[in-house]
Amino acid sequence: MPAPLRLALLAAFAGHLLVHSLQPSPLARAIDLPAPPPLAMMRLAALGDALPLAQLSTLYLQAFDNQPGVSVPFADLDYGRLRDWLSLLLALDPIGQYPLLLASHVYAQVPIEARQRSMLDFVRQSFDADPDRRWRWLAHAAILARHRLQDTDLAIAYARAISELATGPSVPGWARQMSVLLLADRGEVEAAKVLLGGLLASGAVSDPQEIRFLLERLAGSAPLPKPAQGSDAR
Amino acid sequence: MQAPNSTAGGRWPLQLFTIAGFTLLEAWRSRLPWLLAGSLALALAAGLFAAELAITESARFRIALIASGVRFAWVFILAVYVISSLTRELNERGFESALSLEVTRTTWVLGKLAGFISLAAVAVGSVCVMLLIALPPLAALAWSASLLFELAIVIAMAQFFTLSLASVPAAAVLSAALYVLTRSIDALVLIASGSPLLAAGPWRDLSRLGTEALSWVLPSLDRFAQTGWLVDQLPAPGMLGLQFVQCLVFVSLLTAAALVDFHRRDL
Repeated sequence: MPAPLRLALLAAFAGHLLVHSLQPSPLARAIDLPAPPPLAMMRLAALGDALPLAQLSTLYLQAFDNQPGVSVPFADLDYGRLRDWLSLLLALDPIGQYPLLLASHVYAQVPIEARQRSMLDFVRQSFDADPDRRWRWLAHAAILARHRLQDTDLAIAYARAISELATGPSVPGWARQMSVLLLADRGEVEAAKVLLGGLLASGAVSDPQEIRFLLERLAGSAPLPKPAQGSDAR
Repeated sequence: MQAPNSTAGGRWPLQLFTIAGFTLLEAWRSRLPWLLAGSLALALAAGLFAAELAITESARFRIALIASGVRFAWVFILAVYVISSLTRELNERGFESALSLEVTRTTWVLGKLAGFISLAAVAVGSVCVMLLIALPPLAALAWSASLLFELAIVIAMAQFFTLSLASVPAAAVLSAALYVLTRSIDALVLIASGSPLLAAGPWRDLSRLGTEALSWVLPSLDRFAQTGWLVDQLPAPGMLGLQFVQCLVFVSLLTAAALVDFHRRDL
């Protein structure tokens, strides 16, 4: 290799290092969570296969609190935009449960009641679209409402929604019974009996062991309707 | 100069298979299988990495991202390979040697197409074998078959643009644009027909009619090889059959158009 060429290469590399040394050091700067793109644009960007894009977007949202050189507390996130993002992700991938896990187990952990309620409300609204798959997130939301927010009324409302709407075979008995047990815990035995009576009449609760357990919890004496005919023990 | 338009009796099937065989041999010698395998390995690594980041549904993440990555990588690689291979052969006049041996232009084009699609079939077959290890057989087979149909359409697109334009950049850009359009045509129809941003009036009607007309002409590649088939639920009954017919029709259309242009070319 000719010597001038070698010198030129070394000089160019040295010049590159010099220019880099003159640049200011990078500063860690937290950026706000941006508003999500419209659903139509996301579907367009997905080129017809929304599932992978929904998954990558979920990872982006999940990791947003860990920005280069900065860790953003959840409390500093815009929960309105966060909710919009979670709604978008569910719209792109209705079968996936990831956004509901994030809402109920991650973003609802922030110790600010308004934000916790926002996430629980998101779970409640999303539950209606697919109760048989999304019941467990609403069940967790009911537990959070009862024990973190100390709002038994809200917990009972969530539990009633599970009892009434999540009727698929994969929904376990304890989830359908939550409302009965919450009412009993609050001392509303009569209301719990009415609810249990409704579950028995509809055939939602038919297993003899399950019925005995609930009756023992209620420790009531008033007669209850017989279980619906033809329902299989679960 | 045009070779005698002779089918040489019944020799054209043998000629077609010979050209297809040499196309496969050329792909092997140009190390294309290594490139396909490398892209598969990269997609596997990316999918595994992403699955490690997920705090739930990690298997779903892994499979969906690997499948999607493989699909887009192989569409890109095969399209570029078809364009570059055909352009090189046109520039080096290699096909004229074939034409001088009483191979018709039609046989040559069909032979090349068969070779490229066979190459895609071998690649998809290898992925299918891997999927069968980890997934239910029906899901793996359905997705693999649909991916092969999609790749066949992409190959026919790339061949058509190359034989018509004989320019690598133009063929590549148009193939990419047409692929993106076929994958997003349904979304465009929905946007054009339901967008509240477009005021009701002639322009909105025009955009709606235009996108609907395009959707009639183009295949809906967004319904091909859905990753949801691998992780959620199988395709609807008859979907694969419909996609096979769509592939057959569109590949025939593109090949016929390519032959029209190729037959008009002066040698």
